[in-house]
Amino acid sequence: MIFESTRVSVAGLAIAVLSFATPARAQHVTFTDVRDAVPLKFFNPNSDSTHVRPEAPNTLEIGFESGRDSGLDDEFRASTEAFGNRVAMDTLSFNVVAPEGYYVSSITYHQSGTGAVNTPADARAASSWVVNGQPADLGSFSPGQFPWSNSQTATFTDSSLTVVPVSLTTELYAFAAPSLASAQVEFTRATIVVTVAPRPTVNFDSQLTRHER
Amino acid sequence: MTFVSMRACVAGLTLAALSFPAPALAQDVPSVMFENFRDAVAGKYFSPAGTHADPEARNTLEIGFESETNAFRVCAPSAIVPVPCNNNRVAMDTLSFDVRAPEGYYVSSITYYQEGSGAIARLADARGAASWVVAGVPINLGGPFGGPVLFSAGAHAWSRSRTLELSDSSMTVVPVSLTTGLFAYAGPSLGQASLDLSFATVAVTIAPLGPTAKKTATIVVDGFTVPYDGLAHEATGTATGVDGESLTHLLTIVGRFTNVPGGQATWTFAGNDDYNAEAGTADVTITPVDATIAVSGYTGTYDGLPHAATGTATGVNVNGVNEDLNHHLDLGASFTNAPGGTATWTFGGDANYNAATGAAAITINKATPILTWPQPAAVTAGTALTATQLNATANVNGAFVYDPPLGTVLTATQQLTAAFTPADTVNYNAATATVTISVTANTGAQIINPGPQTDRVGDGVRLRIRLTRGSSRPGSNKDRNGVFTAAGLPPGLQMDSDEGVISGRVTTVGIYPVTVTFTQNGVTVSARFDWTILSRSAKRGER
Repeated sequence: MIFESTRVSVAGLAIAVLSFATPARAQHVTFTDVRDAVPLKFFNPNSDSTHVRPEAPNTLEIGFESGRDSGLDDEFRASTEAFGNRVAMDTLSFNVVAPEGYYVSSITYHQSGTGAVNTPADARAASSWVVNGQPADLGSFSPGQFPWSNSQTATFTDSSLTVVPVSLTTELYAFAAPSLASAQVEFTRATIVVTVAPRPTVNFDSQLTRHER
Repeated sequence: MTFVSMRACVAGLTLAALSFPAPALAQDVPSVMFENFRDAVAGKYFSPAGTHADPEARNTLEIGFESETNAFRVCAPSAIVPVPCNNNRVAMDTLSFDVRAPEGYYVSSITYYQEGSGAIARLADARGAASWVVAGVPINLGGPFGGPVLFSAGAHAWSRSRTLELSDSSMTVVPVSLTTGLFAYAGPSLGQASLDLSFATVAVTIAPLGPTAKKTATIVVDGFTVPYDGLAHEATGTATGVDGESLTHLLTIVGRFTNVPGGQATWTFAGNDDYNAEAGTADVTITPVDATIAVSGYTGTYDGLPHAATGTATGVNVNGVNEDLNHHLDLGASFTNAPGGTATWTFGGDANYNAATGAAAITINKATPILTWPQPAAVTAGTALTATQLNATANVNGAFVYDPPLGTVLTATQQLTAAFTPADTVNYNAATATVTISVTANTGAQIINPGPQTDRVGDGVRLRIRLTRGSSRPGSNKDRNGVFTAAGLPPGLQMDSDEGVISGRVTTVGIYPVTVTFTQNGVTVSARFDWTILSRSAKRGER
């Protein structure tokens, strides 16, 4: 498995990164067993929120909670505002299942967010993912890099890889001097794009032909 | 999976937490294997290479950490901590590995414990959070640690512990990923903060795989619905093991159904050492069908007999023969007279066949009477038509009207027409017959029609019928060598066949159509006239 990472940390490039090319897909994968670590906060694994993009069936659009429960915000944001979470961390796990006759040839994760600080304050974001048991760093972001985004692609050459477990973890942090400053960092979008490739088949006819010759 | 979380935020709990109880295992029980260590941030924070099984704590993994500036530590500024942290404000890493149970055992629980310390002075903050993913299930390891609770100049310890109990005995290899993130911030020249993760363990318990629990086969015995076809039907099915192996030979299905409505087949899966026995039912539904019904109406000519529809009802083909269902078919009413009518047929049906009904036309046309009219013999011109010529007959009752009518004196060959009106006009048509009568030229005597005659009752009458050709003895017809006849004479009168004289005394009032004939040498001529007999008191023109 090979990880290739792309990181964009300057304003204005987030949209450009969103348009990273995805290989042509002949078949559609399925995303199963979508679950998160912190129920009802941050990531939202429910199918009405985390869903396959209709126009791109091999793209999983990851959803986020909203609103406020238990006195603190449910959205994936760390903030020094009232009811804001100073730390927000969640893990979303799911399986990528290749269609019959195909294997998963690559998985690309893209995430982006916003943030702002009014010093003395600080806000940070950091994330990592685990693909097929292999953890990988997705980087961290400081106020000078807001709005933040990055993407990373894991490629596979093992044609037996028809089911790939994936876990995404992101942690946000915000602090500001009380009554003097403010800080917030927010996770706004995350997508998974999968490509598949046909599984090689043994061509018995060809072998037989060689024997006959 | 069940999670049990334990959180300790005060100093001094580290050793106590490390001693969490693990299930006692016999000394000869083999240990679990921890393998495939990898981390997300190579060379920093978690140290896969430094991670090792604890030789003193059975089935416990002691997680290694990088050191010095690569330690799992954040600080702001770096000068405040006793070991350098390279002024890391953010530190996040994920450690992944597999827990493999020894042969004959499964992983029954995994407990993760981590601890660290932190310090915050004045305007500063330090926080962290952690989660783990066990067998694909993400789990929060508790709320953020650090923060204001650590707000003091001194060092404070924090720890987290969580136990995951696994009841699924198939979990002999469990993938685990641990992720922790730390943050620190201090206002420039306004405070100090540090936070680290310095110790972490994973303790595993195992449990022996008990007697292999029997598995449950996938039994597919589908009921079905089929139209009645006279054949026996039974449900079929398959039994498949968890690995896709066929177990259909252990499946028995009882119940064969031929007739509507079918029935409920029962199936039993015998099971074996590996699979549980099962039983169930499946509905075999047989639905009624339409019989093949062929009914024909009738079209014919009235013959005095009743006529009805004809037809057959047959069912499905069983063994090459269609079922005879005629006993269920009622062909409806019959009709004798024209014009017939509509026969409504009904098919009663039975359990296997749907009832049906329909209509058939019974058309009875009127019959045409058979008229018989013998060819009349030729007559001599001057002969009046009599019943001898107008003698048509019919095979049914009715009346003839002749044209020309009775008494008409024929002068040339012509067609005679008989129009027949049947007495039963419902069932018979009117009919017409014609014949052509030959009228030969009269080369002999002709009767001179005396014209209408009128007398009174009691009158003595003497009327000589005269012939056109002259005779040697006028006033006598004897030399004509012929014979006179008269028909229809009033009572009291008679014809002298030699003399051609009608004589006598009339007795009865009436109008009498009289036809007189003269036959000579086989040629007959005739004449017709009316003879009116009045009463004695009546004036001429009266009766």
